[in-house]
Amino acid sequence: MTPHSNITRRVASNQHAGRLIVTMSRILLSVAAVFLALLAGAAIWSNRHPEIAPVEQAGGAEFDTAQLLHGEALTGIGACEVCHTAPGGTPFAGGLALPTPFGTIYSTNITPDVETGIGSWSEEAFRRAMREGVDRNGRHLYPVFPYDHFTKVTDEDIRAIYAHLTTLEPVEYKPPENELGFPFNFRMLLAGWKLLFLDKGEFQPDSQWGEEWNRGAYLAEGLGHCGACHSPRNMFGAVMQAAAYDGGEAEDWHAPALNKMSRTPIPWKQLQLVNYLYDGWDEEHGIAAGPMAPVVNHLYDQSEDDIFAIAAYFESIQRRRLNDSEKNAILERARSLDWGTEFGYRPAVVPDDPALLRGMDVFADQCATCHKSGNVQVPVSLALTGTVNAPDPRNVIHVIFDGIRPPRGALQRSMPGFGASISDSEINDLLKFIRWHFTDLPPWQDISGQVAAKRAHW
Amino acid sequence: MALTLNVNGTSHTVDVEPETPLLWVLRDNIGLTGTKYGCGIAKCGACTVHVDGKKAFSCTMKASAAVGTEITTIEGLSEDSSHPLQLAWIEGDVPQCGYCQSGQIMAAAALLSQRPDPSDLDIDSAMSDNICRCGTYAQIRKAIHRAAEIAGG
Repeated sequence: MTPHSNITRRVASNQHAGRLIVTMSRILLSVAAVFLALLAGAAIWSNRHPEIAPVEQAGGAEFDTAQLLHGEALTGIGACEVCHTAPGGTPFAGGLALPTPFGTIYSTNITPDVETGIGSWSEEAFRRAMREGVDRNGRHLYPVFPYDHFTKVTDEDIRAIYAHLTTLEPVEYKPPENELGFPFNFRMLLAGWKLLFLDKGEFQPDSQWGEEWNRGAYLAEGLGHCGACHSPRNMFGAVMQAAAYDGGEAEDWHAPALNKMSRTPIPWKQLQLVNYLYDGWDEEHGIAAGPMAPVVNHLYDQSEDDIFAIAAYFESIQRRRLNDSEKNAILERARSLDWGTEFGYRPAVVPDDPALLRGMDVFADQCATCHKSGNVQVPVSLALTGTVNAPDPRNVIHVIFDGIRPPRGALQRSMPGFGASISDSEINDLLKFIRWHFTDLPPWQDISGQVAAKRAHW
Repeated sequence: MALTLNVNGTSHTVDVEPETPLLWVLRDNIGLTGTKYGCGIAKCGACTVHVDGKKAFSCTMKASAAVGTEITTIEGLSEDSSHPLQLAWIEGDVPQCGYCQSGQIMAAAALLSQRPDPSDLDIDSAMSDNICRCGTYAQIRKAIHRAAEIAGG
């Protein structure tokens, strides 16, 4: 038997295919690691980082009020607290587990505690961490801390963030040790990674665009680090610049594309993005849920100028325009697919497939009490949402199981979770039906596998 | 059809149609009337119970879906009203008319089991499925913080 046919046969068997993919990705990762190690060797010679001497911080006394307030606002744009807080833990004290393909990394304590936090860091040390991903001791930081974005932030803004962080209550808390296998536990590999993927330096404005757009681009590309989730990553875990904003991953949610690949039937206009970023809700797109909810909860406190600027930037990268009649046609179709209010309502087109019919019953029974037209509190037309039109069903599965804990600007728009009250087979049928009824897209693949995976971790 | 349900640690066999809402089985067949009927369409939270420790609306949950799970109602939250939430509720004099309160307490208990020390936003967000006609929301929020304190010692 030739090695080739051997491999073909293994791929043909589903049971082996998964294992083969795991083995292959291990080999690829190891090759990647060796490659990085070689690069690291070269990089280390030219790129050594000394320890920066510890300082005694003054709790913000050396900064003026305007700087401190500016810094507080900027930590909100960067949503620092979202990653630097463990579930139920003290804000900014770290300890959140961040799963990566290379192992689990725990976020650090960035309160001004001298022993466990950054209480002995000078502004220079903080700036180096933001710009170059190196801690005060000179150790490389893992790029799960998005310094590939933060490197674009201006000195003035970095100073303001530093100023704000020094005013926090010091919390003595040591996050758990990272769980990284060999060779990724060697931080020197990161020297090679940076050589390849870290494009250091402040944001450069684009003179083709006006002030608002450039402000938005600066915030989104820098502190906002939007692309950290909304762009795909390569096998080294680096954002693929050529595919920026094509959609990515966030804590097992699909982070939708924000560019021309966006699947929302209605392209985002600036004002709709403002609605969404501030309130977490737009009536032609739906609600911010999952990992996006804490982000918009922080944006809720930001200045209108900054939110309009970010919105202007993201409106511009979509490059998809509809004229009024095209848009009205989409809205009309979406409304025609909304559930009717009359007792025993059946849609105009009813499926033949028994699974779809069962799914329709579940929808009528469980979902249509709220998701119907003419409701006092009209939820979004499901046909308009990015989630129902998304390439995979994960986000809809999360929402069906856990419901929606609404963001601050849309507290009346909660949805209860149904994970405890409807069975997996009902959820499978429901998902099939939702995709079939509300979109013209092909059915989602491996629904039952993904529902089972959700149940297993629930 | 005979269904066996585990409610508050006790096994009950009831003869009902499988699609009967769990709420009516709890109230009419088992006699646990602490869980209330509000809207019947999972929009008000009065019927909140726990299914395997997670919050669920018993008015839209089929009895057959509850078979094989552990159901907890307000009666099963503690043996002697000593759950931190019950203590905090009494201390803070939370209820006004009281109709929604067993649902409120069950929703709060589900929250505290996941977030032992919730923030205001955690509370507003997690409790937004439970409506109170008397408007006791401020007292509820305060009592949840107090319960977290009691539970934390």
